[in-house]
Amino acid sequence: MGFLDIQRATKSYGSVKVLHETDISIEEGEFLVLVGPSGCGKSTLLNMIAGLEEVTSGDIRIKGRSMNGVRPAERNIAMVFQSYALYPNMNVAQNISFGMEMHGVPRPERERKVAQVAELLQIGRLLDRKPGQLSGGQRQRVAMGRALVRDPDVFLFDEPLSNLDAKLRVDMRTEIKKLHQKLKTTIVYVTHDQIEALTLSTRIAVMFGGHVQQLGTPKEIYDTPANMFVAGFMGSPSMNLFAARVAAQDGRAIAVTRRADGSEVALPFPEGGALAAQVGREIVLGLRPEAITDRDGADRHSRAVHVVESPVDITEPAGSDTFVVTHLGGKEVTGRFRADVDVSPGQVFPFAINMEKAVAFDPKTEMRIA
Amino acid sequence: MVNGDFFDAQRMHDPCTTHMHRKTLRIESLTPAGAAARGFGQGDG
Repeated sequence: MGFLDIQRATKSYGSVKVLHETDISIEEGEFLVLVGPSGCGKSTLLNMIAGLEEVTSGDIRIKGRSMNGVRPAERNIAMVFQSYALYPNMNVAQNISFGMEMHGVPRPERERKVAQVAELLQIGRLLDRKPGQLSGGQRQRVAMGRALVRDPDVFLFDEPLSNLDAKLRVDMRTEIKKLHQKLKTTIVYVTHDQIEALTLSTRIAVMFGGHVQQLGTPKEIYDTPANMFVAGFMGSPSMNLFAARVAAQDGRAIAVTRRADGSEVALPFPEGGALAAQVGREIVLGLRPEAITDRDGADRHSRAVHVVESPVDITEPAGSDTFVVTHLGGKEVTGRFRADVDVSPGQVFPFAINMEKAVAFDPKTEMRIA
Repeated sequence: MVNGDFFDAQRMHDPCTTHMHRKTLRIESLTPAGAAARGFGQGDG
């Protein structure tokens, strides 16, 4: 039994099932991120944990206690929303202490806790201001302060950074990570931003179509995606997925694919791979952009770097890296090159492909097979 | 429903934000007496 257990939980609105049977168990102090595109069921699941949505079937347990039928206020949870939802008629100190007041916490205790949280979040000088006098980042800090001050069992964050500009979002992401490391609180965090998911979480549940597609650590999700949806959704630029066929060469498995002009390319898998016995099988080969580099940028520790010459379609300088696009298996394939590599569109360039990082999917089921 | 002075003070008509306020109030355990004392009308409904 975990600290927070979601057991076979489902949610339907009439005949429409928006969350299929879901099982997730997290330990105290974990940072679980629910990530997926709009409409995947992630916010519904968060609202079910909060008690803002009823569970249609199954159970949600916090510290072993079933939450079915328990009001949101009695679950000892706190929630931070994308739109902050600060009370505009109260100043910052009143906003932070309001929940404690409603729970009958005596005034001296409230004042002590507000001061403590204000120091933690560096909002001490804002305590007398109304929300309308605060910037977006300051409002989000106050919203977090309001959650922190109640010492809840579980913090729930519903896309808390989506309203902030790009730079502030990165800053606040770091702040949230620091807070979690310092306070060791249990957090369930909803986002559609896969970078937020990878950087913040101890575990990620990738959701799509009301199903949890994969539950795992950020490294598991990134390196060994369970299916093509997870492979394509997590990572930026996303994993390259292109058609290939398994063949044998010198006693080991290779992936055979084609350049844009139709000529064949052979990419040997590392020895002893799972595909050695599946010669002739059609696959979708998955390679992250960082597994496709210029020759000097290739992983020197890998024993499966294979160089393929292919025409460059587009180059996209991105400051620290240059993304270089070519065609393999009928798809655009993006490599991550060092920024100072001299490469231009139209040039036939050697791409160094690290097959130690390759994964393979079944084209029909879209599930990972190697 | 949350109503009365709260929305007057809010002076905005953003259904999304209002919806989030309602959710927050449910989590923060607003009782009718507490609501009235703080200018929230009839509580969280």
